[in-house]
Amino acid sequence: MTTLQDAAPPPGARTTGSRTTGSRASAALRLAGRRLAWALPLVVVISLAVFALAAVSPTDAAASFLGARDEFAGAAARQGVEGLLGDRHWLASWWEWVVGAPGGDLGWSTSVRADVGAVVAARLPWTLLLMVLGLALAAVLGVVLALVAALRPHGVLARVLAGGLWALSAVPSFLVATTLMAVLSLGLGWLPAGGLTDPGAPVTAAQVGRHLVLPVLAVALSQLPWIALHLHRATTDQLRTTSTEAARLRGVPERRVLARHVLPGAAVPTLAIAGARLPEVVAGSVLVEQVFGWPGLGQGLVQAALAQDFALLAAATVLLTGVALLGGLLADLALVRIDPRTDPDAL
Amino acid sequence: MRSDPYAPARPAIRPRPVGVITAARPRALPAGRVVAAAGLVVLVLYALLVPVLVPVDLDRVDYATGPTPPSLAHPFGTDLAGRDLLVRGAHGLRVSLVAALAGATGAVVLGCLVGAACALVGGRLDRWGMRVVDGVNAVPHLLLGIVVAAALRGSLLTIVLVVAATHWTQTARLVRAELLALGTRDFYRAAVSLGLTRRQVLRHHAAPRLAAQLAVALGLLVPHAVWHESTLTFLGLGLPPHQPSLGALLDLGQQALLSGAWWTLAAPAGLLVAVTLCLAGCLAGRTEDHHG
Amino acid sequence: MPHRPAPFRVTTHGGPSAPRLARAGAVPAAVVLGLVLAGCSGGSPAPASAPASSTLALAESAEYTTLNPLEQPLGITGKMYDGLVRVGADGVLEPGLASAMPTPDEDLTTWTVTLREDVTFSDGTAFDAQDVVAAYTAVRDPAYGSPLATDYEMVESVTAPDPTTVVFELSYPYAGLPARLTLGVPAAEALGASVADSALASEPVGTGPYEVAEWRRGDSLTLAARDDWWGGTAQVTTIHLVFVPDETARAQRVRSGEVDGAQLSPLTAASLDGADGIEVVTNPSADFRAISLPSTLPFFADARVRVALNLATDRDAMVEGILQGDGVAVSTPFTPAQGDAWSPDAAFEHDPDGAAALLDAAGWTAGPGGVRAKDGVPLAFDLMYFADDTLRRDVAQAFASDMAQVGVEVRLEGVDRPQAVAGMRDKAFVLGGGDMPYDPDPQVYRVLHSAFAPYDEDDAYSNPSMYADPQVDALLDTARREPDAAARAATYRELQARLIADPPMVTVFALEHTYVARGLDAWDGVVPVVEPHEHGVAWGPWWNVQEWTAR
Repeated sequence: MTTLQDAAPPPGARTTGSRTTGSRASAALRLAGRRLAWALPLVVVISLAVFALAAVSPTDAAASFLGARDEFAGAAARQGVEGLLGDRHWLASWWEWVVGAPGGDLGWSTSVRADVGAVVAARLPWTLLLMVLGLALAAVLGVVLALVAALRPHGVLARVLAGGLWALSAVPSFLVATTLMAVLSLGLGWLPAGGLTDPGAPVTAAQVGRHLVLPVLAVALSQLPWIALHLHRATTDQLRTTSTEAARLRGVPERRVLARHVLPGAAVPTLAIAGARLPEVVAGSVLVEQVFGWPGLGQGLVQAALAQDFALLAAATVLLTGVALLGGLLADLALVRIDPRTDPDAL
Repeated sequence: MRSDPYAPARPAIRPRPVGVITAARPRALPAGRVVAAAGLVVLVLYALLVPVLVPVDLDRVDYATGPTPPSLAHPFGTDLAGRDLLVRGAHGLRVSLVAALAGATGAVVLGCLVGAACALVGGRLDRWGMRVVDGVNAVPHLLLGIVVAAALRGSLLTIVLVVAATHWTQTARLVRAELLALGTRDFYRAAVSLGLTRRQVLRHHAAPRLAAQLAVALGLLVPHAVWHESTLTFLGLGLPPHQPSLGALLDLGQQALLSGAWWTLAAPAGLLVAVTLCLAGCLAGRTEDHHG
Repeated sequence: MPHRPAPFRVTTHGGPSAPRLARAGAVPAAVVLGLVLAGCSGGSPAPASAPASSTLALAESAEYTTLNPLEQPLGITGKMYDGLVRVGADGVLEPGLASAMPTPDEDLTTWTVTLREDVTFSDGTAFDAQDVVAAYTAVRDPAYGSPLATDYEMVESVTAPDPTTVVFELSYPYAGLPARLTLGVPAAEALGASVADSALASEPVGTGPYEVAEWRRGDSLTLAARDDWWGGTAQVTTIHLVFVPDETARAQRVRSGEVDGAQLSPLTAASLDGADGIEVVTNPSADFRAISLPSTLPFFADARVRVALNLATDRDAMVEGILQGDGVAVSTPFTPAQGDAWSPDAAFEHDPDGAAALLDAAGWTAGPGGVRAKDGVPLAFDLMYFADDTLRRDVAQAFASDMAQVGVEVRLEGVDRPQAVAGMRDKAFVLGGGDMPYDPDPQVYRVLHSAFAPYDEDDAYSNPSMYADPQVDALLDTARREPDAAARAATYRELQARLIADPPMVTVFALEHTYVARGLDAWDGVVPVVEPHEHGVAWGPWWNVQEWTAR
């Protein structure tokens, strides 16, 4: 952390001055409490918005329930289904949803004929696994690329990297996913084209691991440019601080300078940018899951939207938003922990 | 701008402690700006002129011809229904750009209204307005888009609504900040001391400054809106598949991939990447002007 | 937003739901741990052992919404349930849970079915006539909410005079009843109060050859052969059904050998034919596609216009171009699958010049912009297709293209299901048909009869052209009351001649459903079948997988 003290505080950074560790801990707690208190009304408003949209949309509950059979149902059957589904005001449905949600009762999904809570419980962990690994891989690759580029800031490699990353940032993640599948799976046959495991294979680490490679790579590649380009700037600055210069003058080898001075300094911006990119990671994983048939919540969200299954749609939207908010909070708490200049009360 | 790359910087819900984060988008290489602008001109001319110069009936299908690889007669090849992809790509680019421009304009207008109301009225309205801005920002935008499109799907208007409804917050914050900052500026104090009314100051001093920034904000939103259109259409929640938009063409291209017709994917993918890169490239470096 | 019925379980392997939720979260956690311990995810070797010969892995294009046979007839539920009557080779009906084909009385209003004995459900309980009565009572009960209720409107009562006999009393004579008796029969106790809160949606209790071993939501369903099925234990003992919505991914998983088969579009299937022992298998179907011509539009009142549109449609080009030849051009809702009842002569030739002449004669002459008009009304209309259905999109585009050649403007509109229902009154629609191909009556009655002509938003897909022709009505009613098979077929052939003279719509083709499969030559008993509109890997070459024997 010593290197950080030498760096001029960038604009926008707040310093905590003479706070003690104890008050920092309680400030971190206050930060968590504040965020959670803010998230609660947000969840209520989002769910209200989904139910309200369902009410104004020209959807037809019977048509969504019947799916493809709607075309052959005929009048008597359709009226039976309509009677079954009832005709309740959307506010009543929403109220039931909100009241039930804290107890884990998220309503009933018309598109999978099951409890939303159970659907979500089965799918959310897979989404989290994909997002965490994707983001971690992006961070690792980002640090490596940023360091490579920072060592020779005006070299050909740095320019090619910057240009390539910038171009990659313009490619939507579904296109990244499709291209990966086309090349590594369809073309070269190295990896399975999708799914959680081979058909019928038990859910083991080896199985899931092999099927995870492409989705994780797709998520990582769509986040890589952002992380790498920002770190590039951060590490370039870091390499020119007085402490690194001093180390070099003392004859410390460049590799050691990197390991001792530059890398620890890069941890803070990496964590910060990773936290800031979480909503994009959530959105990116929705698309990647769709392409690779990954049984996560993102795919469930798109299927619920296509089937106009609003109970599942509300739950999936709220939970994925919650993942983004919670991830951001965790990143901030980690920042407070490792970077003494961070003021929890300002976050 | 949660779900994608082409957006302006982080919102202010959680100010980042490290300065480098505040300019949260990659910079174009400065030399690239001219190239990007030229590329954008070429793309727009392509979208506008090709459908006029190459009069092909878009509704005419010929499944017997099937997909043919790029050739002199069809530089981008033809798709599964035997339609020329050079012309269809131009139509797709047109549809996507129109949707994107309309959506971005809607977002900027809505943002101006909210931002101005918050700044000028102040007090409780301002506090609540900013809370709404934070709330909208907290939800990943693609999720919001999917929810809106699930309810009102399948038309150009839906796409425009989705983009506008999810992207007005940056403008709102920008306009509000600009108007609030006015009170602390020297020229404002000078103008007021000269006896000008607030309205006059707004019209003669604030409006031109704001207009320039709004133009940049609009420019930054357009590639993002293109991304939204193509993503939603790709997911089956956007434009109907017979309408050639970039998203619809990408979806079709992906279906044809296995049969070896790579060009049906390459043409729209190339156009999408080119248009987003050129748009972003033209405006690269401008974000920091009003963020951070 | 539907009312939320009582909660029930998602996965199907034992235990109450609460512990299972915990387990659902624990599995990925264990996997993460495993990944960490393994050190690297990418380097893990593929453990996929070659599947045993008695195991089949198939890629399905969508996850099943429900496994309740009262919601989802035939197809996948056919693996876990039997009907009184079952579909046999080439689509011929044969006795299932019935010991012989149902016998009607003279005027076709009382049908008696004798049941097989010694049949047990997968939960070990015995099957008897009360289960049949309960199933047919529930399917007709509006409160149960079965989407099949309309199909049993002719049934007045179902009774069980003794445990092996069931009697169906009908409210009118109906010759096509055996096809309707293919309904899967669950255990009476498992039916539940309605389709929404029935545990059958995820936990089948049937008499069929297979039972559910595991349902991994969003990923796969595994079926295991029952060792106490009345038909003998199937030699294919395990079937893994993997859900792969993306067609490219599905094709890839067949090509890589990961799965043994899948349903694919004709074009994609053709691209795999012959590669690594993969063969393309097609089954005929009564699954037709047609363009409705709503009579609410002024120009469709004139039969000459409807005939002209039929003549201007190049059906053979559509079969070749869209279906890669895997289909049959048809001009009425009857298809070769209807056997004797199909009249091959009742067909329109592609004749754009004849169509133009007919339109001229009807007063629809070339107007501004090449679109025909009469008294200032342009011959232009909207055509809706399901936006998520690539086949209907292709048909709509090809039809619009053909119409443009004769000066008729067709504006395409991609819609979802609620939009289709709302628009059906005055817009044309790409209709799908062939829901129940094993008898001609369900194939055509609701599509053509004038009783379904008035627009009703609860019944928009029945007679979407709002077509009314007394002669057609009379022939339809005569045929469904005719006990003699030959006389009945003749009536239907006469009906088709009438449909050419006064066409209700533009029927374009009947599909052959296309599948890719490998390893079929290791088995005896792989035979074709006539498929309904619904398709998937429960059909295809695997439709009778329980009867296959190893070579």
